[in-house]
Amino acid sequence: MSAPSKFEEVKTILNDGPSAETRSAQRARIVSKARKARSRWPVLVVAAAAVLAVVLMTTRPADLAMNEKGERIAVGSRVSTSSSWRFDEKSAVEISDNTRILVRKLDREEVVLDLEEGRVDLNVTHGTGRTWQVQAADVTIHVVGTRLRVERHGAQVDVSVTEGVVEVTGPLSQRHRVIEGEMWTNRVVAEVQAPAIEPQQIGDLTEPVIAPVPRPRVVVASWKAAFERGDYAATFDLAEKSGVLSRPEALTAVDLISLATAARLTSHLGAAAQLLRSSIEKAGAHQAEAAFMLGRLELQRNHAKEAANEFERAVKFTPSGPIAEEAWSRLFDTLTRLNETERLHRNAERYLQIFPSGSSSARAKTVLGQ
Amino acid sequence: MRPATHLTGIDSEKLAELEQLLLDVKRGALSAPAQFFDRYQSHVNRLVWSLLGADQEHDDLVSTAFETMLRTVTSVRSPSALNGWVRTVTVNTVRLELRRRRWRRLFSSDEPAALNHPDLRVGDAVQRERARDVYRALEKLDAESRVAVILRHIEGYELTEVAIAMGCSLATVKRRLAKAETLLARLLGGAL
Repeated sequence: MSAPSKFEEVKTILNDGPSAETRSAQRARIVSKARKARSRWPVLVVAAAAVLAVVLMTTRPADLAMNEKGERIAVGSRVSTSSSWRFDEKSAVEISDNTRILVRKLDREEVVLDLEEGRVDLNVTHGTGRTWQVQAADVTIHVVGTRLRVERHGAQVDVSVTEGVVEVTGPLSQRHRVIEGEMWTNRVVAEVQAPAIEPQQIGDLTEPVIAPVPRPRVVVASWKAAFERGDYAATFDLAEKSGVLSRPEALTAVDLISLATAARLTSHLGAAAQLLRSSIEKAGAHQAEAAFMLGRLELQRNHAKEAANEFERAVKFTPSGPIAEEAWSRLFDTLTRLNETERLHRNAERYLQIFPSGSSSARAKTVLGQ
Repeated sequence: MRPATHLTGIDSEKLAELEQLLLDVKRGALSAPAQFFDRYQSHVNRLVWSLLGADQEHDDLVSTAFETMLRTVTSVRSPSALNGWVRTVTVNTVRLELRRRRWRRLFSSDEPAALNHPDLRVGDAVQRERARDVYRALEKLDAESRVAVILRHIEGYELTEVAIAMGCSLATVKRRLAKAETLLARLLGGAL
Protein backbone atom coordinates (compact mmCIF):
# COMPACT_ATOMS: atom_id res chain seq x y z
CA MET A 1 0.00 0.00 0.00
CA SER A 2 1.46 3.29 -0.99
CA ALA A 3 2.10 5.99 1.61
CA PRO A 4 -0.77 8.47 1.98
CA SER A 5 -0.19 11.85 0.33
CA LYS A 6 0.69 14.80 2.50
CA PHE A 7 -2.76 16.24 1.98
CA GLU A 8 -4.37 12.99 3.06
CA GLU A 9 -2.47 13.19 6.29
CA VAL A 10 -3.71 16.75 6.79
CA LYS A 11 -7.28 15.62 6.26
CA THR A 12 -6.85 12.90 8.83
CA ILE A 13 -5.50 15.32 11.40
CA LEU A 14 -8.19 17.91 10.70
CA ASN A 15 -10.80 15.25 11.25
CA ASP A 16 -14.31 16.57 11.95
CA GLY A 17 -13.61 20.11 12.94
CA PRO A 18 -14.41 21.80 16.26
CA SER A 19 -16.34 19.99 18.96
CA ALA A 20 -20.05 20.25 19.64
CA GLU A 21 -19.33 22.39 22.73
CA THR A 22 -17.29 24.81 20.65
CA ARG A 23 -20.08 25.05 18.08
CA SER A 24 -22.61 25.64 20.80
CA ALA A 25 -20.48 28.47 22.19
CA GLN A 26 -20.16 29.91 18.68
CA ARG A 27 -23.95 29.87 18.32
CA ALA A 28 -24.54 31.67 21.57
CA ARG A 29 -21.99 34.34 20.69
CA ILE A 30 -23.33 34.95 17.20
CA VAL A 31 -26.97 35.09 18.28
CA SER A 32 -26.12 37.46 21.14
CA LYS A 33 -24.22 39.81 18.80
CA ALA A 34 -27.09 39.73 16.30
CA ARG A 35 -29.57 40.73 19.04
CA LYS A 36 -27.39 43.62 20.20
CA ALA A 37 -26.99 44.87 16.64
CA ARG A 38 -30.76 44.67 16.19
CA SER A 39 -31.47 46.72 19.31
CA ARG A 40 -29.10 49.45 18.14
CA TRP A 41 -31.00 50.08 14.92
CA PRO A 42 -34.01 51.98 16.25
CA VAL A 43 -31.74 54.32 18.25
CA LEU A 44 -29.58 55.01 15.16
CA VAL A 45 -32.61 55.66 12.98
CA VAL A 46 -34.13 58.11 15.46
CA ALA A 47 -30.80 59.92 15.85
CA ALA A 48 -30.36 60.23 12.09
CA ALA A 49 -33.91 61.54 11.67
CA ALA A 50 -33.33 64.15 14.35
CA VAL A 51 -30.16 65.40 12.70
CA LEU A 52 -31.86 65.61 9.31
CA ALA A 53 -34.76 67.58 10.77
CA VAL A 54 -32.38 70.11 12.33
CA VAL A 55 -30.50 70.51 9.06
CA LEU A 56 -33.69 71.06 7.06
CA MET A 57 -35.14 73.55 9.53
CA THR A 58 -32.06 75.72 9.77
CA THR A 59 -31.20 75.94 6.08
CA ARG A 60 -33.11 76.75 2.94
CA PRO A 61 -32.10 76.81 -0.70
CA ALA A 62 -30.34 79.98 -1.70
CA ASP A 63 -32.12 82.32 -4.09
CA LEU A 64 -30.04 81.91 -7.20
CA ALA A 65 -32.04 84.27 -9.41
CA MET A 66 -34.83 86.83 -9.10
CA ASN A 67 -36.82 88.96 -11.49
CA GLU A 68 -37.48 92.71 -11.31
CA LYS A 69 -40.41 92.12 -8.94
CA GLY A 70 -38.27 90.23 -6.48
CA GLU A 71 -39.87 86.92 -7.40
CA ARG A 72 -37.66 83.88 -7.36
CA ILE A 73 -36.65 82.31 -10.68
CA ALA A 74 -36.42 78.55 -10.51
CA VAL A 75 -36.31 75.50 -12.72
CA GLY A 76 -39.51 75.40 -14.72
CA SER A 77 -40.02 79.18 -14.65
CA ARG A 78 -41.53 80.26 -17.92
CA VAL A 79 -41.75 83.86 -19.08
CA SER A 80 -43.60 85.28 -22.06
CA THR A 81 -43.24 89.02 -21.42
CA SER A 82 -40.28 91.31 -21.06
CA SER A 83 -38.41 90.75 -17.84
CA SER A 84 -35.07 91.37 -16.16
CA TRP A 85 -33.41 88.62 -14.21
CA ARG A 86 -30.53 89.05 -11.79
CA PHE A 87 -28.44 86.13 -10.61
CA ASP A 88 -26.57 85.58 -7.35
CA GLU A 89 -23.16 86.03 -9.00
CA LYS A 90 -24.25 89.24 -10.76
CA SER A 91 -25.06 87.73 -14.14
CA ALA A 92 -28.09 89.28 -15.82
CA VAL A 93 -30.62 88.30 -18.44
CA GLU A 94 -32.83 90.80 -20.28
CA ILE A 95 -35.87 89.30 -21.91
CA SER A 96 -37.46 91.35 -24.66
CA ASP A 97 -41.15 91.77 -25.48
CA ASN A 98 -42.84 88.90 -27.31
CA THR A 99 -40.25 86.47 -26.04
CA ARG A 100 -40.93 83.07 -24.55
CA ILE A 101 -38.21 81.54 -22.43
CA LEU A 102 -38.12 78.53 -20.11
CA VAL A 103 -35.61 77.76 -17.34
CA ARG A 104 -34.56 74.14 -17.82
CA LYS A 105 -31.79 74.05 -15.25
CA LEU A 106 -30.67 76.42 -12.53
CA ASP A 107 -28.10 75.51 -9.89
CA ARG A 108 -24.68 76.64 -8.77
CA GLU A 109 -22.95 74.76 -11.57
CA GLU A 110 -25.16 75.36 -14.55
CA VAL A 111 -27.91 77.47 -16.07
CA VAL A 112 -29.81 76.17 -19.08
CA LEU A 113 -32.39 78.41 -20.78
CA ASP A 114 -34.66 77.35 -23.57
CA LEU A 115 -35.45 80.23 -25.93
CA GLU A 116 -38.70 79.25 -27.56
CA GLU A 117 -39.20 82.50 -29.41
CA GLY A 118 -37.95 86.09 -29.36
CA ARG A 119 -34.81 87.76 -28.04
CA VAL A 120 -32.73 87.52 -24.92
CA ASP A 121 -29.59 89.48 -23.97
CA LEU A 122 -27.18 87.95 -21.52
CA ASN A 123 -24.39 89.41 -19.45
CA VAL A 124 -22.66 86.46 -17.85
CA THR A 125 -20.14 87.14 -15.11
CA HIS A 126 -16.63 85.79 -15.66
CA GLY A 127 -14.91 83.27 -13.44
CA THR A 128 -17.79 81.97 -11.34
CA GLY A 129 -17.39 78.42 -12.57
CA ARG A 130 -21.02 78.35 -13.56
CA THR A 131 -21.65 77.35 -17.17
CA TRP A 132 -24.49 78.78 -19.19
CA GLN A 133 -26.33 77.25 -22.06
CA VAL A 134 -29.03 78.71 -24.24
CA GLN A 135 -30.99 76.34 -26.42
CA ALA A 136 -32.79 77.81 -29.38
CA ALA A 137 -34.45 75.43 -31.85
CA ASP A 138 -31.76 72.88 -32.69
CA VAL A 139 -28.91 75.21 -31.84
CA THR A 140 -27.08 75.22 -28.52
CA ILE A 141 -25.03 78.17 -27.35
CA HIS A 142 -22.42 77.54 -24.64
CA VAL A 143 -21.50 80.62 -22.67
CA VAL A 144 -18.69 81.16 -20.18
CA GLY A 145 -18.40 84.79 -19.12
CA THR A 146 -19.51 86.98 -21.96
CA ARG A 147 -22.15 89.36 -23.35
CA LEU A 148 -24.26 88.10 -26.16
CA ARG A 149 -27.64 88.22 -27.79
CA VAL A 150 -29.61 85.20 -28.95
CA GLU A 151 -32.51 85.73 -31.28
CA ARG A 152 -34.91 83.12 -32.49
CA HIS A 153 -37.77 83.40 -34.96
CA GLY A 154 -39.21 80.02 -35.68
CA ALA A 155 -36.30 77.87 -36.80
CA GLN A 156 -34.04 80.81 -37.53
CA VAL A 157 -31.45 81.51 -34.85
CA ASP A 158 -28.95 84.38 -34.69
CA VAL A 159 -26.23 84.64 -32.04
CA SER A 160 -24.40 87.97 -31.70
CA VAL A 161 -21.41 88.25 -29.36
CA THR A 162 -20.48 91.67 -28.04
CA GLU A 163 -17.89 90.54 -25.54
CA GLY A 164 -16.02 87.31 -25.03
CA VAL A 165 -16.38 84.04 -26.87
CA VAL A 166 -19.19 81.55 -27.17
CA GLU A 167 -19.40 78.16 -28.74
CA VAL A 168 -22.38 77.37 -30.88
CA THR A 169 -23.35 73.79 -31.62
CA GLY A 170 -25.47 73.42 -34.71
CA PRO A 171 -28.14 70.82 -35.46
CA LEU A 172 -25.63 68.34 -36.88
CA SER A 173 -23.33 68.76 -33.89
CA GLN A 174 -21.05 71.02 -35.90
CA ARG A 175 -19.34 73.47 -33.56
CA HIS A 176 -18.55 77.11 -34.22
CA ARG A 177 -16.54 79.46 -32.11
CA VAL A 178 -18.09 82.91 -32.27
CA ILE A 179 -15.94 85.75 -30.97
CA GLU A 180 -16.86 89.28 -30.07
CA GLY A 181 -17.92 91.27 -33.05
CA GLU A 182 -19.36 88.26 -34.83
CA MET A 183 -22.85 87.06 -35.42
CA TRP A 184 -23.56 83.43 -36.10
CA THR A 185 -26.73 82.46 -37.91
CA ASN A 186 -28.20 79.22 -39.09
CA ARG A 187 -29.75 80.96 -42.08
CA VAL A 188 -28.28 79.58 -45.26
CA VAL A 189 -28.61 82.59 -47.49
CA ALA A 190 -25.41 83.74 -49.12
CA GLU A 191 -25.63 87.28 -47.85
CA VAL A 192 -26.89 88.19 -44.44
CA GLN A 193 -27.06 91.75 -43.26
CA ALA A 194 -26.59 91.70 -39.53
CA PRO A 195 -28.59 94.33 -37.66
CA ALA A 196 -26.69 96.74 -35.45
CA ILE A 197 -27.18 96.22 -31.73
CA GLU A 198 -28.69 99.31 -30.14
CA PRO A 199 -27.09 100.57 -26.97
CA GLN A 200 -28.82 99.36 -23.88
CA GLN A 201 -28.11 98.46 -20.35
CA ILE A 202 -27.75 94.87 -19.43
CA GLY A 203 -27.09 94.21 -15.82
CA ASP A 204 -26.84 96.49 -12.80
CA LEU A 205 -27.69 100.09 -13.23
CA THR A 206 -24.25 100.97 -11.98
CA GLU A 207 -22.69 99.32 -15.04
CA PRO A 208 -21.91 101.55 -17.97
CA VAL A 209 -24.32 101.62 -20.90
CA ILE A 210 -23.16 99.48 -23.73
CA ALA A 211 -21.86 101.61 -26.55
CA PRO A 212 -23.24 100.98 -30.02
CA VAL A 213 -21.32 98.17 -31.64
CA PRO A 214 -20.38 98.04 -35.29
CA ARG A 215 -22.45 95.81 -37.50
CA PRO A 216 -21.01 92.38 -36.71
CA ARG A 217 -19.32 90.25 -39.27
CA VAL A 218 -21.61 87.40 -40.17
CA VAL A 219 -20.53 83.84 -39.80
CA VAL A 220 -22.99 81.87 -41.83
CA ALA A 221 -23.53 78.20 -41.31
CA SER A 222 -22.95 77.45 -44.99
CA TRP A 223 -22.19 74.22 -46.78
CA LYS A 224 -18.85 75.66 -47.84
CA ALA A 225 -17.81 76.28 -44.25
CA ALA A 226 -18.81 72.73 -43.40
CA PHE A 227 -16.82 71.38 -46.38
CA GLU A 228 -13.73 73.29 -45.34
CA ARG A 229 -14.05 71.73 -41.91
CA GLY A 230 -14.28 68.29 -43.44
CA ASP A 231 -17.81 67.80 -42.14
CA TYR A 232 -19.23 66.14 -45.26
CA ALA A 233 -22.51 65.09 -43.73
CA ALA A 234 -23.23 68.70 -42.75
CA THR A 235 -22.05 69.85 -46.18
CA PHE A 236 -24.52 67.70 -48.02
CA ASP A 237 -27.33 68.43 -45.60
CA LEU A 238 -26.86 72.19 -45.69
CA ALA A 239 -26.54 72.17 -49.47
CA GLU A 240 -29.72 70.18 -49.79
CA LYS A 241 -31.64 72.43 -47.35
CA SER A 242 -30.49 75.58 -49.06
CA GLY A 243 -31.65 74.28 -52.45
CA VAL A 244 -28.27 74.54 -54.22
CA LEU A 245 -28.38 70.91 -55.26
CA SER A 246 -31.45 71.58 -57.36
CA ARG A 247 -29.77 74.58 -59.04
CA PRO A 248 -26.37 73.28 -60.16
CA GLU A 249 -26.23 75.79 -62.96
CA ALA A 250 -25.82 78.48 -60.28
CA LEU A 251 -22.68 76.83 -58.91
CA THR A 252 -19.12 76.94 -60.18
CA ALA A 253 -17.40 73.81 -61.48
CA VAL A 254 -15.19 73.69 -58.39
CA ASP A 255 -18.20 73.98 -56.08
CA LEU A 256 -19.87 71.17 -57.98
CA ILE A 257 -16.83 68.92 -57.54
CA SER A 258 -16.69 69.79 -53.81
CA LEU A 259 -20.35 68.96 -53.37
CA ALA A 260 -19.89 65.77 -55.39
CA THR A 261 -17.05 64.76 -53.05
CA ALA A 262 -19.24 65.38 -50.01
CA ALA A 263 -22.10 63.47 -51.61
CA ARG A 264 -19.87 60.52 -52.52
CA LEU A 265 -18.33 60.33 -49.05
CA THR A 266 -21.75 60.31 -47.45
CA SER A 267 -22.98 57.58 -49.80
CA HIS A 268 -25.24 59.82 -51.88
CA LEU A 269 -23.80 58.27 -55.04
CA GLY A 270 -26.60 59.22 -57.39
CA ALA A 271 -26.40 62.86 -56.33
CA ALA A 272 -22.60 62.75 -56.64
CA ALA A 273 -22.82 61.44 -60.20
CA GLN A 274 -25.30 64.15 -61.17
CA LEU A 275 -23.11 66.87 -59.68
CA LEU A 276 -20.05 65.61 -61.53
CA ARG A 277 -21.93 65.54 -64.84
CA SER A 278 -23.00 69.12 -64.21
CA SER A 279 -19.38 70.02 -63.54
CA ILE A 280 -18.17 68.36 -66.76
CA GLU A 281 -20.71 70.40 -68.73
CA LYS A 282 -18.94 73.56 -67.65
CA ALA A 283 -15.90 73.99 -69.85
CA GLY A 284 -12.61 74.36 -68.06
CA ALA A 285 -9.49 72.70 -66.71
CA HIS A 286 -11.50 70.77 -64.14
CA GLN A 287 -13.28 68.63 -66.74
CA ALA A 288 -10.71 65.84 -66.82
CA GLU A 289 -10.72 65.58 -63.04
CA ALA A 290 -14.53 65.51 -62.94
CA ALA A 291 -14.70 62.86 -65.65
CA PHE A 292 -12.09 60.72 -63.89
CA MET A 293 -13.98 61.02 -60.56
CA LEU A 294 -17.20 60.12 -62.33
CA GLY A 295 -15.56 57.08 -63.87
CA ARG A 296 -14.47 55.85 -60.44
CA LEU A 297 -17.91 56.56 -59.06
CA GLU A 298 -19.58 54.56 -61.83
CA LEU A 299 -17.26 51.66 -61.07
CA GLN A 300 -18.33 51.93 -57.45
CA ARG A 301 -21.93 51.71 -58.62
CA ASN A 302 -21.04 48.71 -60.81
CA HIS A 303 -21.78 50.63 -64.00
CA ALA A 304 -18.72 49.42 -65.93
CA LYS A 305 -19.89 50.69 -69.35
CA GLU A 306 -20.53 54.18 -68.00
CA ALA A 307 -17.21 54.04 -66.16
CA ALA A 308 -15.36 53.19 -69.39
CA ASN A 309 -17.07 56.10 -71.15
CA GLU A 310 -15.99 58.52 -68.43
CA PHE A 311 -12.38 57.29 -68.34
CA GLU A 312 -12.26 57.67 -72.10
CA ARG A 313 -13.65 61.16 -71.77
CA ALA A 314 -11.07 61.95 -69.08
CA VAL A 315 -8.13 60.97 -71.31
CA LYS A 316 -9.63 62.95 -74.17
CA PHE A 317 -9.76 66.04 -71.94
CA THR A 318 -6.23 65.49 -70.72
CA PRO A 319 -4.28 62.91 -72.72
CA SER A 320 -1.07 63.61 -70.84
CA GLY A 321 -2.05 65.66 -67.83
CA PRO A 322 -1.55 64.91 -64.11
CA ILE A 323 -4.26 62.28 -63.89
CA ALA A 324 -3.72 60.88 -67.35
CA GLU A 325 -1.67 57.77 -66.50
CA GLU A 326 -4.16 56.78 -63.84
CA ALA A 327 -7.12 57.38 -66.14
CA TRP A 328 -5.52 55.33 -68.96
CA SER A 329 -4.81 52.47 -66.58
CA ARG A 330 -8.40 52.44 -65.36
CA LEU A 331 -9.65 52.61 -68.92
CA PHE A 332 -7.63 49.53 -69.90
CA ASP A 333 -8.92 47.69 -66.79
CA THR A 334 -12.54 48.52 -67.52
CA LEU A 335 -12.41 47.74 -71.25
CA THR A 336 -10.73 44.42 -70.49
CA ARG A 337 -13.44 43.63 -67.99
CA LEU A 338 -16.10 44.50 -70.58
CA ASN A 339 -14.28 42.46 -73.21
CA GLU A 340 -14.41 45.37 -75.65
CA THR A 341 -11.41 44.26 -77.67
CA GLU A 342 -11.68 46.71 -80.55
CA ARG A 343 -12.03 49.71 -78.27
CA LEU A 344 -9.14 48.39 -76.15
CA HIS A 345 -6.89 48.14 -79.24
CA ARG A 346 -7.78 51.62 -80.37
CA ASN A 347 -6.97 53.12 -76.97
CA ALA A 348 -3.77 51.08 -76.62
CA GLU A 349 -2.53 52.52 -79.91
CA ARG A 350 -3.38 56.02 -78.83
CA TYR A 351 -1.69 55.49 -75.48
CA LEU A 352 1.59 54.32 -77.02
CA GLN A 353 1.64 57.35 -79.28
CA ILE A 354 1.51 59.61 -76.23
CA PHE A 355 3.39 57.45 -73.73
CA PRO A 356 5.77 55.13 -75.60
CA SER A 357 7.49 54.30 -72.28
CA GLY A 358 4.68 55.02 -69.89
CA SER A 359 3.69 52.90 -66.89
CA SER A 360 1.03 51.11 -68.95
CA SER A 361 3.14 50.76 -72.13
CA ALA A 362 3.95 47.08 -71.52
CA ARG A 363 0.29 46.37 -71.09
CA ALA A 364 -0.66 48.35 -74.19
CA LYS A 365 1.93 46.41 -76.22
CA THR A 366 0.53 43.14 -74.96
CA VAL A 367 -2.95 44.20 -76.04
CA LEU A 368 -1.58 44.98 -79.48
CA GLY A 369 0.33 41.71 -79.63
CA GLN A 370 3.72 43.40 -79.74
CA MET B 1 -11.92 10.00 4.02
CA ARG B 2 -14.19 12.89 4.77
CA PRO B 3 -16.71 13.54 2.04
CA ALA B 4 -16.53 16.98 0.62
CA THR B 5 -19.73 18.87 1.32
CA HIS B 6 -20.03 21.54 -1.29
CA LEU B 7 -23.62 22.58 -0.79
CA THR B 8 -24.46 21.65 -4.35
CA GLY B 9 -27.59 20.15 -5.74
CA ILE B 10 -30.64 21.51 -3.98
CA ASP B 11 -33.94 19.67 -4.19
CA SER B 12 -37.23 21.51 -4.14
CA GLU B 13 -37.94 20.79 -0.47
CA LYS B 14 -34.62 22.20 0.60
CA LEU B 15 -35.18 25.15 -1.72
CA ALA B 16 -38.42 25.94 0.06
CA GLU B 17 -36.57 25.78 3.38
CA LEU B 18 -33.92 28.14 2.09
CA GLU B 19 -36.56 30.48 0.80
CA GLN B 20 -38.19 30.63 4.21
CA LEU B 21 -34.85 31.12 5.91
CA LEU B 22 -33.95 33.96 3.58
CA LEU B 23 -37.29 35.62 4.20
CA ASP B 24 -36.93 35.29 7.97
CA VAL B 25 -33.44 36.76 7.96
CA LYS B 26 -34.42 39.63 5.69
CA ARG B 27 -37.44 40.58 7.74
CA GLY B 28 -35.38 40.39 10.92
CA ALA B 29 -37.18 37.54 12.63
CA LEU B 30 -35.85 37.04 16.17
CA SER B 31 -35.07 33.41 15.55
CA ALA B 32 -33.37 34.10 12.18
CA PRO B 33 -29.71 34.36 13.36
CA ALA B 34 -29.99 31.07 15.24
CA GLN B 35 -31.71 29.38 12.29
CA PHE B 36 -29.05 30.70 9.95
CA PHE B 37 -26.24 29.45 12.16
CA ASP B 38 -27.81 26.02 12.56
CA ARG B 39 -28.22 25.71 8.82
CA TYR B 40 -24.70 26.69 7.84
CA GLN B 41 -22.42 26.19 10.84
CA SER B 42 -21.21 22.79 9.69
CA HIS B 43 -20.10 24.03 6.32
CA VAL B 44 -18.63 27.29 7.57
CA ASN B 45 -16.75 25.55 10.38
CA ARG B 46 -15.41 22.98 7.95
CA LEU B 47 -14.14 25.57 5.50
CA VAL B 48 -12.55 27.85 8.09
CA TRP B 49 -11.03 24.84 9.87
CA SER B 50 -9.14 23.65 6.84
CA LEU B 51 -8.38 27.02 5.23
CA LEU B 52 -7.02 28.56 8.41
CA GLY B 53 -5.45 25.37 9.72
CA ALA B 54 -7.46 24.72 12.87
CA ASP B 55 -5.63 27.36 14.87
CA GLN B 56 -6.73 29.25 17.96
CA GLU B 57 -8.40 32.05 16.02
CA HIS B 58 -10.82 29.67 14.36
CA ASP B 59 -13.83 30.61 16.49
CA ASP B 60 -13.25 34.35 15.99
CA LEU B 61 -13.18 33.89 12.28
CA VAL B 62 -16.33 31.78 12.21
CA SER B 63 -18.04 34.51 14.22
CA THR B 64 -16.79 37.17 11.78
CA ALA B 65 -18.03 35.18 8.81
CA PHE B 66 -21.52 34.82 10.30
CA GLU B 67 -21.70 38.48 11.33
CA THR B 68 -20.82 39.47 7.77
CA MET B 69 -23.41 37.14 6.36
CA LEU B 70 -26.20 38.27 8.67
CA ARG B 71 -25.40 41.87 7.88
CA THR B 72 -25.27 41.49 4.10
CA VAL B 73 -27.72 38.67 3.39
CA THR B 74 -30.23 41.22 2.05
CA SER B 75 -28.10 41.29 -1.09
CA VAL B 76 -29.00 37.66 -1.86
CA ARG B 77 -31.93 37.74 -4.25
CA SER B 78 -32.64 34.09 -4.77
CA PRO B 79 -32.72 31.22 -2.25
CA SER B 80 -30.96 29.00 -4.78
CA ALA B 81 -27.98 31.36 -4.60
CA LEU B 82 -27.75 31.24 -0.81
CA ASN B 83 -25.53 28.20 -0.45
CA GLY B 84 -22.95 29.43 -2.96
CA TRP B 85 -23.04 32.87 -1.41
CA VAL B 86 -22.34 31.48 2.07
CA ARG B 87 -19.35 29.62 0.68
CA THR B 88 -18.00 32.69 -1.08
CA VAL B 89 -18.39 34.94 1.97
CA THR B 90 -16.66 32.36 4.17
CA VAL B 91 -13.77 31.94 1.73
CA ASN B 92 -13.40 35.71 1.44
CA THR B 93 -13.42 36.16 5.21
CA VAL B 94 -10.54 33.71 5.53
CA ARG B 95 -8.68 35.22 2.58
CA LEU B 96 -8.82 38.63 4.20
CA GLU B 97 -7.46 37.22 7.45
CA LEU B 98 -4.67 35.37 5.65
CA ARG B 99 -3.65 38.58 3.84
CA ARG B 100 -3.61 40.46 7.12
CA ARG B 101 -1.43 37.80 8.64
CA ARG B 102 1.11 38.00 5.81
CA TRP B 103 1.32 41.71 6.34
CA ARG B 104 1.65 41.38 10.13
CA ARG B 105 4.46 38.87 9.66
CA LEU B 106 6.63 41.67 8.34
CA PHE B 107 6.53 43.29 11.76
CA SER B 108 5.96 40.46 14.18
CA SER B 109 6.58 36.73 14.47
CA ASP B 110 3.75 36.29 16.95
CA GLU B 111 1.28 34.36 14.80
CA PRO B 112 -1.11 31.58 15.73
CA ALA B 113 0.38 28.22 14.91
CA ALA B 114 -1.56 25.87 12.70
CA LEU B 115 -3.20 22.76 14.11
CA ASN B 116 -3.25 24.18 17.62
CA HIS B 117 -6.95 24.38 18.31
CA PRO B 118 -7.88 22.71 21.59
CA ASP B 119 -10.51 20.59 19.83
CA LEU B 120 -7.91 18.90 17.64
CA ARG B 121 -7.40 15.32 18.79
CA VAL B 122 -3.87 14.41 19.79
CA GLY B 123 -3.56 11.45 17.44
CA ASP B 124 -0.32 10.39 15.84
CA ALA B 125 2.39 12.94 16.77
CA VAL B 126 4.50 12.24 13.70
CA GLN B 127 1.51 12.56 11.44
CA ARG B 128 0.53 15.78 13.15
CA GLU B 129 4.02 17.21 12.72
CA ARG B 130 3.96 16.31 9.02
CA ALA B 131 0.56 18.02 8.70
CA ARG B 132 2.06 21.10 10.43
CA ASP B 133 4.87 21.07 7.88
CA VAL B 134 2.24 21.28 5.17
CA TYR B 135 0.65 24.31 6.81
CA ARG B 136 4.01 25.95 7.32
CA ALA B 137 4.67 25.49 3.63
CA LEU B 138 1.19 26.82 2.84
CA GLU B 139 2.08 29.97 4.77
CA LYS B 140 4.74 30.68 2.13
CA LEU B 141 2.01 31.01 -0.48
CA ASP B 142 -0.05 34.11 -1.02
CA ALA B 143 -3.58 33.95 0.35
CA GLU B 144 -5.23 33.18 -3.02
CA SER B 145 -2.90 30.30 -3.83
CA ARG B 146 -3.23 28.85 -0.36
CA VAL B 147 -7.01 28.93 -0.52
CA ALA B 148 -6.97 27.34 -3.99
CA VAL B 149 -4.67 24.51 -2.87
CA ILE B 150 -6.71 23.74 0.25
CA LEU B 151 -10.07 23.83 -1.52
CA ARG B 152 -8.72 21.56 -4.22
CA HIS B 153 -6.55 19.09 -2.32
CA ILE B 154 -8.01 19.03 1.17
CA GLU B 155 -11.66 19.88 0.61
CA GLY B 156 -11.78 17.98 -2.68
CA TYR B 157 -13.42 20.74 -4.74
CA GLU B 158 -13.55 20.40 -8.51
CA LEU B 159 -11.57 23.08 -10.34
CA THR B 160 -14.74 24.87 -11.40
CA GLU B 161 -15.99 24.83 -7.82
CA VAL B 162 -12.72 26.38 -6.68
CA ALA B 163 -13.09 29.08 -9.32
CA ILE B 164 -16.65 29.86 -8.25
CA ALA B 165 -15.78 29.93 -4.55
CA MET B 166 -12.88 32.29 -5.21
CA GLY B 167 -14.68 34.43 -7.76
CA CYS B 168 -12.05 34.02 -10.44
CA SER B 169 -11.66 32.23 -13.76
CA LEU B 170 -10.82 28.59 -14.24
CA ALA B 171 -7.62 29.58 -16.00
CA THR B 172 -6.57 31.65 -13.00
CA VAL B 173 -7.24 28.76 -10.66
CA LYS B 174 -5.21 26.38 -12.80
CA ARG B 175 -2.36 28.82 -13.00
CA ARG B 176 -2.33 29.43 -9.25
CA LEU B 177 -2.52 25.74 -8.47
CA ALA B 178 0.28 24.83 -10.85
CA LYS B 179 2.59 27.44 -9.39
CA ALA B 180 1.62 26.62 -5.80
CA GLU B 181 2.05 22.88 -6.26
CA THR B 182 5.54 23.34 -7.68
CA LEU B 183 6.56 25.50 -4.76
CA LEU B 184 4.99 23.20 -2.18
CA ALA B 185 6.70 20.17 -3.69
CA ARG B 186 10.03 21.95 -3.39
CA LEU B 187 9.36 23.08 0.18
CA LEU B 188 8.08 19.71 1.30
CA GLY B 189 10.87 17.81 -0.42
CA GLY B 190 9.00 15.68 -2.90
CA ALA B 191 5.63 14.69 -4.28
CA LEU B 192 2.54 15.95 -2.53
